[in-house]
Amino acid sequence: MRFQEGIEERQAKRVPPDVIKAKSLIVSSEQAIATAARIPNEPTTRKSIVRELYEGLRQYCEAIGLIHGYKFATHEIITAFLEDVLKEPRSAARFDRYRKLRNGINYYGDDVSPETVNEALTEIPTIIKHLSNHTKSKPS
Amino acid sequence: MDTKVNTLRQFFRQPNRGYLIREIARLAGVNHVTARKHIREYLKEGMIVKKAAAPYPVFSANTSSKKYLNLKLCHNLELIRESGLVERLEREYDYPVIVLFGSFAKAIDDEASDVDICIISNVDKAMDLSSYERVLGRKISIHKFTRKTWETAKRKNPGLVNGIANGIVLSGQLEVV
Repeated sequence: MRFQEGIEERQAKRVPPDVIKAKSLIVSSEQAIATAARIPNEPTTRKSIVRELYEGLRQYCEAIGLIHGYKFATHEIITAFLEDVLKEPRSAARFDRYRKLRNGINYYGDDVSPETVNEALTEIPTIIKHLSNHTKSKPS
Repeated sequence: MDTKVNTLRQFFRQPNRGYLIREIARLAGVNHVTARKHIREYLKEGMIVKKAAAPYPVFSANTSSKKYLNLKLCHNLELIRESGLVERLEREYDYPVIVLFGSFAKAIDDEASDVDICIISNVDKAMDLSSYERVLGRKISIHKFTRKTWETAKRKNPGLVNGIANGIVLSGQLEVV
């Protein structure tokens, strides 16, 4: 899906840029990532770790959206936002992968392998760090 | 329309084989008059060729026809979609990068060809693919890489990496640089 299509389908909408709300979301995102890192990586906690990491990433993307004057109504539209608005295809592909993983966990009870948890623990903070450039940019 | 597609499907499955009209009709589930009509149309479009044989001529795929190759590629991709293989691989390997490459991705496969699939995932497990092989009518070869071995392959096996990069990404995003 393209971002413009998502706007037309009301999966995202234009809002006045809100830096204060964005900052709170960034704090929440950092807390989620820190929490995930503290959860012991065991077979029974793997899903929680991935959920928490994804939540941190999503909140960070929501914050960037608010800085740029967008509010998202679905998680799928965030992928299109990263790709089409921020021009970050790699981060978009990675975000989309974690979105699908989280959907699998939440809606289908899918398991997550230990390799994927370890990967997420290092990759998601890296994606956030990379996207942090966009929290400084002025709203378009 | 379906009977016309069904007629062509036999040539996709075994492109090198010569078929008699009645054989095609039986395999496609149509009467021989309908099969003859479809075959005439495909002959006119250059998608199949007629070869003299005794007692009757046989028909086989024209593998140098662009139109034939385009339609066969659609057929191949549709077979993969129908099989549900991609969804299964996505769930088993935690949403990896999945690339179809080789002869099946170029629509130049025959019954002896493998379906080459590259998976880039850190998940280490083996899968029984026999039920998918039955649907596809081909053996499936999984070329599995972890993110680390994929990076190594880029330096040490550029031929294979180029082959994969020229394939069709079925899921995720392939990073080549």
